[in-house]
Amino acid sequence: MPRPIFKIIKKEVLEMVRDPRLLLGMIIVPLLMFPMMGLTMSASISSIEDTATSIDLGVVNMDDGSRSGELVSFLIARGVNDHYYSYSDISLMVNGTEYPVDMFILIEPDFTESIESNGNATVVLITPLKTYSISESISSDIVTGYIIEYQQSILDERIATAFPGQDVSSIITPITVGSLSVVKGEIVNNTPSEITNQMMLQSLMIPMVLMILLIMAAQLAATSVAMEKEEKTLETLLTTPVPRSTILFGKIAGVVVISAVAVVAYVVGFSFYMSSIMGAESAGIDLTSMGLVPSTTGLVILLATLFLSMVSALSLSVLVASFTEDVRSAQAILGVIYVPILIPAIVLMLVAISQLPGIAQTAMLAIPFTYPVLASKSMYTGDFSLVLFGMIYQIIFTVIIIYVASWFFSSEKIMTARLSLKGSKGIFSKKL
Amino acid sequence: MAIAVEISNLSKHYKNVTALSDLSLKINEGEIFGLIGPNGAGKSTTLKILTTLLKPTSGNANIFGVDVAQDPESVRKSISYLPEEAGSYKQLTGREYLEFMAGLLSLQENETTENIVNRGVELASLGSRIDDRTKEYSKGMRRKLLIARALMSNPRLAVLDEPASGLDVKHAFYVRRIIKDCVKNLGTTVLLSSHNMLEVEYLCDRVGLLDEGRLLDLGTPAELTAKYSAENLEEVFIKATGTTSEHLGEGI
Repeated sequence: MPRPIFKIIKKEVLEMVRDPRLLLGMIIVPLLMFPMMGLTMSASISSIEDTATSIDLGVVNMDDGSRSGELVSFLIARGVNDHYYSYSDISLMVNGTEYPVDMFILIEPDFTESIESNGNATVVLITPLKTYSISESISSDIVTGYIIEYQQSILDERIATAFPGQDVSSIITPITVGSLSVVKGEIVNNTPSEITNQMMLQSLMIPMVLMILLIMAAQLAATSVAMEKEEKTLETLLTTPVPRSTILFGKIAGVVVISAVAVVAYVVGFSFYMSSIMGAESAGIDLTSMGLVPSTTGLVILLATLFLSMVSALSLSVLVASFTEDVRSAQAILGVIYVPILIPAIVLMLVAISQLPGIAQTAMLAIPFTYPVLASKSMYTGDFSLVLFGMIYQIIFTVIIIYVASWFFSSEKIMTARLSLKGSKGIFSKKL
Repeated sequence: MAIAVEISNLSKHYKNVTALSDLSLKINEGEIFGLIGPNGAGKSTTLKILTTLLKPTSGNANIFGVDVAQDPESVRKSISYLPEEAGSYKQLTGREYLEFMAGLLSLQENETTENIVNRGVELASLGSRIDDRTKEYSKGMRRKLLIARALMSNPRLAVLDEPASGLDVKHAFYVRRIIKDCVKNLGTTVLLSSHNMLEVEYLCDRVGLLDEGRLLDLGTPAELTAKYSAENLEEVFIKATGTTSEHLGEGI
């Protein structure tokens, strides 16, 4: 006969798997939502890229010189489609007449003359906003970029005329700033921000997924206990010959099993999302060649801290939920656990722990959920000393919480203690 | 006759409220004992102390010679408890619920989980609906399942809090019948609480009258009705508490 703990785990898993809300939130949503978000993002990027290559420009040319023609030819060479209109079409467009163009370019009458006389010429871009989407402003930005490029060619011309025989680029840029980084004893030809940005995308993917998972697992564990109270099944369960600690461990283990499946669903879904949106923008930075890849030891340590975080978060939420009478109160009171889960992920996304002031550093290290985030960074640096210390701390923290939860489950307080959210009678009240 | 339950000077206080005061009684093995009284009389508190859910403030209670406060884990091996507002796990089928609960029991010799579950299925008498999820059950069906769960393991002592409360005539009749059958055929001792005096009169060998945490009187239904010159237990209770018609009118 299977031991009672396996019966409890099986019951927990069955209940969770058969609850459509839970299945939807923990398994189906990450498996569908992240890939769909990724596809939508990559479709948007493609659509914006398409916009850049098919801009329809209404040209209103009031200049009679050669420079305006040269500018239009410059734009056509970069893929812009030209359509010619008169000045009056602009006022008609303003008053609502539709034209098959994305924007108008108004070239002022003295455009050529101003350029030839080293003066300041003017062109105006007029964009009718129809959908107020980013792609409408992008068309205008792209054409502005082309015009700046054309302007640069005029500037080069002027400098070449003023300083015959000299290098134009040296005159424009008297100082060149080079920025290199040293990675693991090797000089690499990238700025520090290029490398950290790229690393952040990769190393934060895991903690972000982890934080979502921890919150969902905590919710699941709290719901499991609160449900026993709400559905009036706890009293019966507590009068069976099974030790109370077995009931507690069975509940935690059941949630760990479901969360492990959710980990897979989240990692698969999130990887698909990241690969969808990052495919086009790898920026030519190869972290692998710099040795900035997670080691097997690093991954094992990350998984170990993740497991310890999960068990401590679950024990904590089981304990907190034991004080409540129903699922709604349990969910509400669970906010106290979300804060320490979210803070390390957000703060350490921006700064290294060593950059924090002393008190903040101590506070951060006192949170057991900090260590998976640190582990995700240590995977790249190879310095695990703080994380290993953290794992010992996590074990001590978890053992204490489990001990308190076991004691609580074994006492009559599991039946009588109630967390009062009204505040007038203090934190605990007794139910007769 | 062997003693199944022995309660001596049992009291339970919550801060300033006395839920149970100096309760003493004995229940013989193989009898159906009923605790009757209004809401707040201390019935559920007594049952919760005996089923190891609550600890007494003072006094003691033994079940088959084992102290409930000193050795609750041993006590749990010989009892089965049906709370007044018990639920079943909604996502499990009736059969899965019985299998789960049977898996948590300490098996006696020559007993298997399968036998216990089969007995539970038979007692629940839900036909093919036993394989439906319990969230689809009516209140009566759920209570039948729960009483089957409480009795399927042939516990030495079954503690039933308001076993037929809120059920229609048909389901209430069925629940009372299987309680009687279990005692008659298997020798189970039953301790139950009820508001329903007629139910208690029909089911119980002996009755304890409880009011405001105190035991007012104790005896067989026949002894009590004779003692108070009453027609039924309802009248016995009214006379035992000294409730007058003026008192009854106050609450209306």
